[in-house]
Amino acid sequence: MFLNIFLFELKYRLKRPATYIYFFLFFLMALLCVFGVSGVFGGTVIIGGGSSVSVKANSPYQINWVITILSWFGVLVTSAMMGNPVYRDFEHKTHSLFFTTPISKWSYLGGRFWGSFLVTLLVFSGIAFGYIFASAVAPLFPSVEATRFGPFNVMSYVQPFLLIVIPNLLLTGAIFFTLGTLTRNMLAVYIGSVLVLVLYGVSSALTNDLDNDLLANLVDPFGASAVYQTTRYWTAAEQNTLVLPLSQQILWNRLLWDGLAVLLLIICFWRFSFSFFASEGKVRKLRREEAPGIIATAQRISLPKVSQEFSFGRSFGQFWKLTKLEFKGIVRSVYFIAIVVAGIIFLLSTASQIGKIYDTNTYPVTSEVVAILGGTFALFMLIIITFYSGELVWRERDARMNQLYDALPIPNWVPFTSKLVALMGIQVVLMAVVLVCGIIIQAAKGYFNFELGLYVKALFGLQLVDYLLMCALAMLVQVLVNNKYLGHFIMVVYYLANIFKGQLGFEHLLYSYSSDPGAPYSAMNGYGHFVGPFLLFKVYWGAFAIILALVSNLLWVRGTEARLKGRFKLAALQLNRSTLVVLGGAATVFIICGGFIFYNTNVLNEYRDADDNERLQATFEKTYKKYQHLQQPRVVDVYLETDLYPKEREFHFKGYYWLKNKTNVAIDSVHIMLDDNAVIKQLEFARPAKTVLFDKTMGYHIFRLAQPLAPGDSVKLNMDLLYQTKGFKQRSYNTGIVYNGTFINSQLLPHIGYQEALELADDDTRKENGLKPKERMAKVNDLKARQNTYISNDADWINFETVVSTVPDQIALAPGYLQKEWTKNGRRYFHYKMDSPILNFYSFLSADYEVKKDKWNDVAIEVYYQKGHEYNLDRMIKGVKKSLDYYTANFSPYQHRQVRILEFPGYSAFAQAFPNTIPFSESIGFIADVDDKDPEDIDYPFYVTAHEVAHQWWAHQVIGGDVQGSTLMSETMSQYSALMVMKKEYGPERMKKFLKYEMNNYLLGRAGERKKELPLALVENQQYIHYRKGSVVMYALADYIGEDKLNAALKEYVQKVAFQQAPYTNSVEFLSYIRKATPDSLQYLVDDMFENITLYENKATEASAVKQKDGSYKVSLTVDAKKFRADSLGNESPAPLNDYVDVAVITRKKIAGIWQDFPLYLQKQRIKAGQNKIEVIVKEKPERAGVDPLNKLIDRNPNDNTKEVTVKS
Amino acid sequence: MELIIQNLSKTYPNGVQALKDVNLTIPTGMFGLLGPNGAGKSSLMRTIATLQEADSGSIRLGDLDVFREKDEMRKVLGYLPQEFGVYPKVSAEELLDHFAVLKGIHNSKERKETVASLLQQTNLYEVRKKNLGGYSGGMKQRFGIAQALLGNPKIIIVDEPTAGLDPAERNRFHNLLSEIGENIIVILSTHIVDDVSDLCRNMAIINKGEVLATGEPLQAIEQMQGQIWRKFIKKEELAQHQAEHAVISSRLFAGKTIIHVYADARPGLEFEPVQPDLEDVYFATISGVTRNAPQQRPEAEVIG
Repeated sequence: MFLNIFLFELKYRLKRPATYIYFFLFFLMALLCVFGVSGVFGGTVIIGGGSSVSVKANSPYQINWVITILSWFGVLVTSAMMGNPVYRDFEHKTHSLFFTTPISKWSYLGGRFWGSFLVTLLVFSGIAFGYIFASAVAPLFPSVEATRFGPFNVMSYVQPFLLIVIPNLLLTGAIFFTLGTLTRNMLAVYIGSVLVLVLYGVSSALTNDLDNDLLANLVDPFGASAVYQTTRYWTAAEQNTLVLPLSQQILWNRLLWDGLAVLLLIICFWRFSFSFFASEGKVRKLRREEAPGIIATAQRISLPKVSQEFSFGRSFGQFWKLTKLEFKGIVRSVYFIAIVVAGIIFLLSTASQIGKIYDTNTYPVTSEVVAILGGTFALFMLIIITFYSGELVWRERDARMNQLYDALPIPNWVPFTSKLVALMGIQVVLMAVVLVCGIIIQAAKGYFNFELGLYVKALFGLQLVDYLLMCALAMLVQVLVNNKYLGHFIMVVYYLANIFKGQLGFEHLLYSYSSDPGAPYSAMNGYGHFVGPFLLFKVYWGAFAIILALVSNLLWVRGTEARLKGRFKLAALQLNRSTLVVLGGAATVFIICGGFIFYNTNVLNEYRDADDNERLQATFEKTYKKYQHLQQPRVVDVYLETDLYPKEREFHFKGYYWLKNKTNVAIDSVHIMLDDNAVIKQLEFARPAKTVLFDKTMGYHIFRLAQPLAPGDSVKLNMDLLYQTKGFKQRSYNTGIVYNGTFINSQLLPHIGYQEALELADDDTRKENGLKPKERMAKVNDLKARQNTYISNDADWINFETVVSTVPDQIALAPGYLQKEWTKNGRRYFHYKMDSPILNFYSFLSADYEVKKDKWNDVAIEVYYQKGHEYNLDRMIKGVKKSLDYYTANFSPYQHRQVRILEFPGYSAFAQAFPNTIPFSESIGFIADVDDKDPEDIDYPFYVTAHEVAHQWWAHQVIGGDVQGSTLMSETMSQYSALMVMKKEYGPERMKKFLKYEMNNYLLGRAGERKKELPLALVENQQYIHYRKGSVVMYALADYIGEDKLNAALKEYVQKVAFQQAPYTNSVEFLSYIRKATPDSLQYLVDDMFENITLYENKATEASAVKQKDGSYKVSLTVDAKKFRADSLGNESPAPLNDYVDVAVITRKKIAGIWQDFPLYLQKQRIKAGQNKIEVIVKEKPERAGVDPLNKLIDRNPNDNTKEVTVKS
Repeated sequence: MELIIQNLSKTYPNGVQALKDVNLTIPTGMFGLLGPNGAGKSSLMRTIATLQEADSGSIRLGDLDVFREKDEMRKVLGYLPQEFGVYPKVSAEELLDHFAVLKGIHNSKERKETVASLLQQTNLYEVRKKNLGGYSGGMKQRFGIAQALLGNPKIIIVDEPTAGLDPAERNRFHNLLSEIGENIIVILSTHIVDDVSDLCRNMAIINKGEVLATGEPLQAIEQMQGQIWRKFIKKEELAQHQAEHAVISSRLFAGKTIIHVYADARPGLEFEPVQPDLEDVYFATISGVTRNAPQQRPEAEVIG
């Protein structure tokens, strides 16, 4: 009997077109993914964490991510297919037929479940088939390189199904089947999918904190965290070859959730009863009220005469009544409440993650809260829009009241419009929910500065508009396809397509529904100049939405005609004057706004999509590369009158460069490159010269001096440049010059000679544009390249002077010391002059600042900040002071008399060190909420400050040549310096978490390397190497050879190279100082850490202790150790191991009221490859023992370094 | 006022021809539309109720062109579809009031009165506060008629209203309909002959999308006088009788099979004459044995 039902279910499903539609959609999505990944659309799309270009499009890793990700989206399909098998019988009222047949519960439920399960699995296999098909087809495209594909391996497809898809299907299938069977309501099934998604979301929120790995893994029903945790550190080589293994994480996750699935199915089986469901209990009571028998002939029907009115006003009244009814219908439905409650729980659970950097919170300022909550809740909003648009459109038909309604004398516009408006009303309510949640979260965190105005603007002004537009679209889709589930699916496909539209070449916002150029918020600048374009775009799309709504209304199913053709015929009949007027009006607004947008983005400003820009860059290289090595004079002196006009968003440079011929040949032509946005009013030499070439588009200009510039001679270059903001651009946010918080730098000024930095860097893109691949940087010893610093190729050290003017209520700043400040003609002027030579690297800032001043010895400390951002000023000032303490004592004197920290809007999140000037983004430290009592919190305002102050030495004193490895002496050393200052201030214990992040980011970074990983000494400006690996390595080095010894070497190095002239220092020279300070026994460290990519695989396999007679403990430890060297793609080979490694025995102690690890024994011992047996005697009872407990060495599984000690007495 | 249907045809996308050149003139009063399941009754009803388009033909209510002026038609229409649902968690009173608003009764006092009165007439007043989800089939059907009566309709269309009702409910329903049908057009579709014979002054018999006969029930019965014969037979003899005679119906009675045969003269000795009733007219018509059935008369002669 089971078999019969099972086969019937199979046959039933295989006859349904939906089955094939879903299969085909999966097939298509996989196809698109492969096409995207392999570059059929040009360029390459990255799908899944850490994928990189060197990873083949059909590598097991890539296949696994695509299959896994697509299968999550498949939850929707699962809910439709697995929620339905039993529910179907109720929907079609066939349940009484089935339930009265002599079938067993097991046959019925089992047959239905497994039949549907199998078919759903077949549908999901569409992903694999699509992938295989696409992998076969993609190489035929000319834009796809054959090397993008490796050999076919069937296990690459099977394994993700075995470990991820099938277990997930079992779980989601069990949830949906149980819900559908027991509640007999499809919405309940959807709620189930929402809950599953919530758990998934909670899990990914938890992933942000490294300490939550285990929890994040277990909470995630889809096993995504498990996959992530298993594969996150895989290098390109591993990604290409390794099939997803059944790791611990995956195993435990799968066991937990599939155990739950089985439990659910048992509950379903147990609770389900044929008789229970077949009876309809309530009706009897009413029936008794009327006795059968003789009925008195009815009295004459006399109905009161009523008057009917059918004016527009009355129709509006009907519309309003229906709107309220539909609105209440949604709000009161349990499912709506369930989704909203789930959303709120989700919101509150992610609240703990607000603004976390290094796991340290920011204050819950309104803009952050709104951004996070709005983003988090968006999923629920879309779910509600998607599902309820279907429910609303189908409400009458689902209740089988459509014929009653359709025959009523209400105008055609009323039913549709009332539903649309009701759905829109729901969005308003939900935004209010977000608002209330936000306030609750703020209050719960003890933050009471509720900026209600900002809440309203952000939620109701910005976010709501998008949802309203989405409502119109969702309703149109539902009306058009006239199939609820297909409508849902199309909406989901739409959301997905939206994510990938950039890659598909749809870049211009004018044809991307509901798009806008963005409206980022900054506490300094508010919504600034973004408001206008945003509103214009929304009016444009609003008009379009009205057209959509009108079309939906015309095609609204009234009566029994549901075919699209028939409905179009009917629609044509309905086109009356008022409809045409509204349609015409909306179309007019749409066209006018569209035209105006086009005028701004494409006429006032030149419109270039990504491809145009690439072509331009390629042309630049092809045309001018020949001039790269021409001898050019160098900038030695800069004087600028810089006028900033924040309100007009314009700025103006007037002044001069002195260019000096430092070569030993005469120079007759000077090549000048200048941003093509600059309006050049003057750009001429102070002596006779001829313009030979003036290429405005490329910004390349050549001047021939009448008399060549003799060696050692100088020439003055006068300039008068204007940067205007005309209208708005498509996407370029242009956040340099803004109403409040201008931050522009020397990039906008003329450069001398060919600028290699403007060339295309990505090899794939280069190839598309007919260019050969190129190295990222010159070799470390390239003497020619070392003639320049890596910061600029047209200057060494310059004298700098500027007069900056701005509006009276703002303070303008630039490197140098303030000479004079005055006001003239309603403008405020600041004259800055630098008293010592600096790199050709400077910036201009202007904002309505508050200033906090302090002093360190003779050095003035000033923090320029936005009012309200006082939280961390003291930490920053302390950071400056402690840094100056440490760096002056250990490296060299500070070259300036001042340190200024300048806040700038959070459009970018970085801090940057200019001479005596540190622009510091409002988003990374000004609103940090550091809890000093929490040993896990990292005082990152302090740390970032220390890092930037360190740059005054490591970049502004010591600067490497334009070759590999030079950021080792700037970024790595600034990291090291900041780490030491932090360690000194907070103690080594507090460094552990920070270093854990650095290690994690290094390992993640190398997994995502796009070209090749290099050893630290040859780093090619790769952030994961020079920051992340740099921190770990330098911290360990200081530990191994001693901080003082290391610093002494550094001091010597600084003395040697500070403020040097060309050729500039390189990492080889730097390392020679390090090597000198390193004892012979530890020289291998320098090889391992700087000159190679070295990884350890250390693991404590056994740890036991015996209590001795004297009360001490003898700890026996077995450690399994391995050392690898990796090549640039991550291919590993074992390396001999006989290294000093920390051996530790740890206990837990309560220190300052908090339980912390406390080392009973911590000594370096020689560890060899393979098994090591170690015995240690400690005084107290040990808890854990192992090697390298503080993860000084690079190890991908740091958690198994130590093991719990089993104490035998 | 008359409802005049001319040359109405409709073919569904799946090829089924639901209506074939239907011509009908329906006068004030109860009009019965009789036909077996799937005859096209509901299609015709829906088309009159503005819910379905026809491929060709026209429907006029007085001066009103139903296809072109759907809104106007809906203002004077009361419609009770064959199958309909209700919102289970709403009370009859609330839902009726809601429909009243949608029917354009905006004066709240009037609306209240008319809702109360309709609930009285349909004998639902006692249970007006109860949720519709708890209503029996008959109660729901009466609610449906109450809904159709809202707003002084000039034409009421009821599609198979008594299907599934018990006899008492059916009687009650008939009483209600006959009262309403005195002054306005009421079109009642049914496959139950008694419904028509009990209630309708005029009727049409429809099968496979075609109008086979129209006229007054009594007249039609009159015309059959002396042409219907009855015989008790054995089950096995049925096929043979069907081959030899125009058998219009057969049914079981006390374990034996009775057949009715249509013939101008007594077909045989064992046949006995029967006083024809509407059922005989109906079966004779749809089985196509009548040669002088009323449908051949020009429709203008249908009594209006």
